Amino acid sequence: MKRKDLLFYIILLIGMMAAFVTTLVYPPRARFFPIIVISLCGFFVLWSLVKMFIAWNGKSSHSEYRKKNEVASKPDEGYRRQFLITVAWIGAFVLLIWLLGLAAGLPLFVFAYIKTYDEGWRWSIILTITMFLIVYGGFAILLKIPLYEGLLF
Amino acid sequence: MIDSIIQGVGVLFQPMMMLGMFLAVVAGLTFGVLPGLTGMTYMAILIPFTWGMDPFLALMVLVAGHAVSTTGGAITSILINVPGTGPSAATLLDGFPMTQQGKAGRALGAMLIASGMGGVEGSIVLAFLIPIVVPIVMAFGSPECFFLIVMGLSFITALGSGSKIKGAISALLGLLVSFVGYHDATAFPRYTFGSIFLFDGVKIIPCALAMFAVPEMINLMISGSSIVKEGTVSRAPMADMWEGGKDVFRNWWLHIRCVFLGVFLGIVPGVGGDVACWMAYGHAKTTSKHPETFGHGNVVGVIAPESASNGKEGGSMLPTLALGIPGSAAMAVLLGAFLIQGIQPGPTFLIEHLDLAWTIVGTLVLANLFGIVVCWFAAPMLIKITRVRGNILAPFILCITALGAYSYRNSLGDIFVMFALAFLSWPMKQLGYSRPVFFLGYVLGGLAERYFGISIMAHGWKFFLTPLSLVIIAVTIISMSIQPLSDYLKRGKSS
Repeated sequence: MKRKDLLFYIILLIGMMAAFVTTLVYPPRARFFPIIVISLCGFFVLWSLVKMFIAWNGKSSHSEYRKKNEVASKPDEGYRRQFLITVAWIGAFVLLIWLLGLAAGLPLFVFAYIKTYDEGWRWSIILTITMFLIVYGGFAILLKIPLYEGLLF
Repeated sequence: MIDSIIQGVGVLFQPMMMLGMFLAVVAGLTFGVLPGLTGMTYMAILIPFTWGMDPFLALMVLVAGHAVSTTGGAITSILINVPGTGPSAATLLDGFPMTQQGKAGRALGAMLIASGMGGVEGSIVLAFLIPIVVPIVMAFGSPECFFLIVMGLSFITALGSGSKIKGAISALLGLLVSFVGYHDATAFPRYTFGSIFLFDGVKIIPCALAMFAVPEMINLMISGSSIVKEGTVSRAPMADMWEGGKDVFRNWWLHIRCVFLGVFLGIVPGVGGDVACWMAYGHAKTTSKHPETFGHGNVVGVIAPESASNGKEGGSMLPTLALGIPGSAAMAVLLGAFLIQGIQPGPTFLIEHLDLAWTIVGTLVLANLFGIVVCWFAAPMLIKITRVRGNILAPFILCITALGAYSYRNSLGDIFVMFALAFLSWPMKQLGYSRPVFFLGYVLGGLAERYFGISIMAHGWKFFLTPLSLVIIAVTIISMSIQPLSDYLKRGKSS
């Protein structure tokens, strides 16, 4: 957890620095509140980082601490793999919507996901049709919401 | 007066009106359940169909559906951690953990009774306040609104759990997201990176879905298990729901306080229902004897925001009906519906159409009661969703979530924004950052900046020296110091 915390703090710090530089060019009234917020956030992130390093330095042996920390925070290999697969699925989901639009992309995603995880044809077909009915029948026809049609259509 | 009440309320009991109300309640609940579709969307879609209808029927159909939409939104908040409407986001903090513990029935029962009763009580307060609303609304200028927002922000300390530094960082990140888009006073676009889409800022529904729904779906996809873990024992849904209903009566004093808070914040134009729910939650936590149980499935955390959520409907009707000032975007849509019917809300409305005003009060009461009945019988069926496997549920809900983000303003950009924010919210969830605090910062940040700017322009730097502002500042300081003071006294006693 410590290593993940450290990584998140570093990302936040870089983000805050970028936001600070971006905000400086805004007119005085437009930057008044953001500058206060960014400065405070940056201060808290920096403070947390310093505290983390002090705690790290305070340990009797760095290598021992690191080893201990690695053992404590070593994520389950299966979990990590599943996480990466999930991120890939979400990427595919966004891509499907972008390329095929909502009426085709959403039911297709439901079908592909459920079928991949071996939930059987019955659930795959029922939920795909239900999704299509919700998107097309419910939103497009009944509510008259103009659906995004996709880059390919 | 009595004649108007009899005439106005009596109209509601005609068979055609009752049928219309039932259908409107079902439609309103459905809109609430679907993320992205709110009571306002319901009214906006239905307005063209009310053209040519009898004004009583038309306005009853619109008000009834709108009144129960937040109740519908709370159902998905509790069962699947997806807030159907903006105000429902506060309900999921304790509602969803209750579901995970197999207490979905109890959470739903508490939500339905708190929400339904809140709506009824809010309408009764509305009825009593109609004659005296003008001075109340006029007393709230921009400085007072600013300090009300600051009061809401002060609850950030109460909402957070765990590390105080992480809580502060979450709140500041939320505030930062609220600054995206045009700055109100200077019309200068901030953090838009040249994207015209972001000029309008990050909208509340994509943000709420990104903060609460998407991380939950990611975790469901990773684990593949159901929301309620295998082997979790839960009682029969009906028995549990009765228990939840009784919880509201056990906490009746808190319920009443939150309803009044909702009504009061509903009356103040521009503050909004989201603020009311979060303030009610913060109030419940700060005044609780066991604040540490909040966020882990405390039923009081469901009762407080739901009481305020529907209580505010009565309050927000007041300035719309009596002054012709819509307090929220939804009320602006309702105002449009009035004008289409050839009725002008405002001071003369209560003289010329008092019977219609009573019809609206009666509609709020009856629609909330109908809402309770409909949800009460539908809930046991809905609870079964929580036992569906993650591999089946997650992709389906993810699609509904994307559809909700899209339909908020028919924009693909909102889906992208939702997933972009989810890349922030998922690590926040995993690393113990408070997402409710982030969301509160986001909801209040833009409002605080807006009212601060207006106050400075209108009154200069001494804008806080109005009597009402000073009262609000004092209340804020007192409410913030209650918890630390009682902790200090407890420590003193124990040592």
